[in-house]
Amino acid sequence: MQLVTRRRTAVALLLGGALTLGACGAAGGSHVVSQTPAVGATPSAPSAASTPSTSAPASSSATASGGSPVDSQTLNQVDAELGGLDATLNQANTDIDNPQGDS
Amino acid sequence: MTRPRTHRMVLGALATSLCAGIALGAPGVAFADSSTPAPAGSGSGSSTDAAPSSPACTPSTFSQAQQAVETALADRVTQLNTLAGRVNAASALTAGDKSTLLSDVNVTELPGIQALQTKVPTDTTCPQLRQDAHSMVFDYRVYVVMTPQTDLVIANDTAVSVVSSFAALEPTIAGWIQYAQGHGNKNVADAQAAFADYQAKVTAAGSLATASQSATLLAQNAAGYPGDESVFLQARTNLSNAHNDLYTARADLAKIITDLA
Repeated sequence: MQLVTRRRTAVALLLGGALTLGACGAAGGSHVVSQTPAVGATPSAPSAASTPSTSAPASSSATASGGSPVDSQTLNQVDAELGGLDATLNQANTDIDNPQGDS
Repeated sequence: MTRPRTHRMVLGALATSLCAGIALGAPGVAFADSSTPAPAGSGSGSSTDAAPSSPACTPSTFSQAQQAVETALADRVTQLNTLAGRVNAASALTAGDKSTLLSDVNVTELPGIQALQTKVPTDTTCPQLRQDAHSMVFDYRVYVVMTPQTDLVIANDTAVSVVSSFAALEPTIAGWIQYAQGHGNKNVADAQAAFADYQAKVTAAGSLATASQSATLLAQNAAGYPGDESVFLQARTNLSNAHNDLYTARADLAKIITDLA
C-alpha cells in the first residue's frame, strides 16, 4: 500500500512539474506573439493617436485582427467631432428659422 | 423660411407701430393690426417693415407701450447673455473670432440695450418712446443679425476645425492602406477607392468652411440689415453642404476600417 501511495505521489509531482513547465512555455510563446509589430511599429502606418484631433493614447488603440494597424477608435473620435458640428449647425438653423425675437 | 417672414412681419409691427403709431398718436392697440398701410416717413429702415400695425402709443396707451418696450429690451439682454455664453463655450472658435464676437456682444450691443433699459422708464411722451423703440430694433438687430452671426461663426469655425482633423487623418489612413498592401489584404482596392472619395469630400468641405467665411460673417452689422440676410443664408448653405461632405467622408472612413480590419 505504501509503495502504491509513493508512486502516486511521484506521478502527481511529475505531472505538476510538467504542467508548470508547459505553462511557462506557453506564456513565453504568447510574449513572443505580443511583440509582433502591430500598432505604431510600422513606420508607414502611424497611429491615429498621432493626429491632433485624437486623444486616446496609442497603447489603448484597438488593433484590428491580423496585426493590422487600423485603429477602430478613430471612428469614435471622428464621431465626437461631427457631433460638435451637428450641435452648432442645429443651433444656427434653429435661430435662423425660428428666431427667439422678431428683430 | 415661412416663420422668419412671419417674425419679421411682427418685427415690422413692433418697429412700425412704435415708430409710426407713436408719432401719429392715433388710438389703437399696440402691435395688433397689420392691415393698415404704413404711413409715409414712418421711420422704417427695412423692406421687411412695410407691414404696419395699429398705432401703438397714445396718451391713453402710453404705459402699455412703454411696458412692451421694456419687456422687449429685457428679452434682448437675455438673448445677448445667451450669445456670450455660447461664444465662451465654443472651443473651436478661433481666438480672434471669439474676441470679435465678445466685443460685439459685450461692448456694443449689451451696453446699448442696457442704456435704453435705463432711459425708457423715464420716457414721458410717445415721441421719446418711439425714438427708443426704433433704436432698440434698428441700431442693434439682436435677433436677426447678432444671433445668426454668432451662431454661424461658431458653426463655421467648428467646421473648419473638423475639416482640419479629417485632413490630418489622411497620412494615417494612407499608412493603413500601405500596410494592408504589404500584407496581401484582398480589400485594398476597395479601401483605396473609399480613401480617394474621403480625400475629395474633405477637400470639398474645406472649400465650403473657410476662415474667410467667418470674416465675412463678422463684417455684417445692424445697419446692413436686411442685406445681411443673404450672407447668413449663403453661409448656412455652405455649412450644410460641408456637413454633408464630412458625413460622407466619415462613411468612407468606416468602410476603410471595415475593409482593412
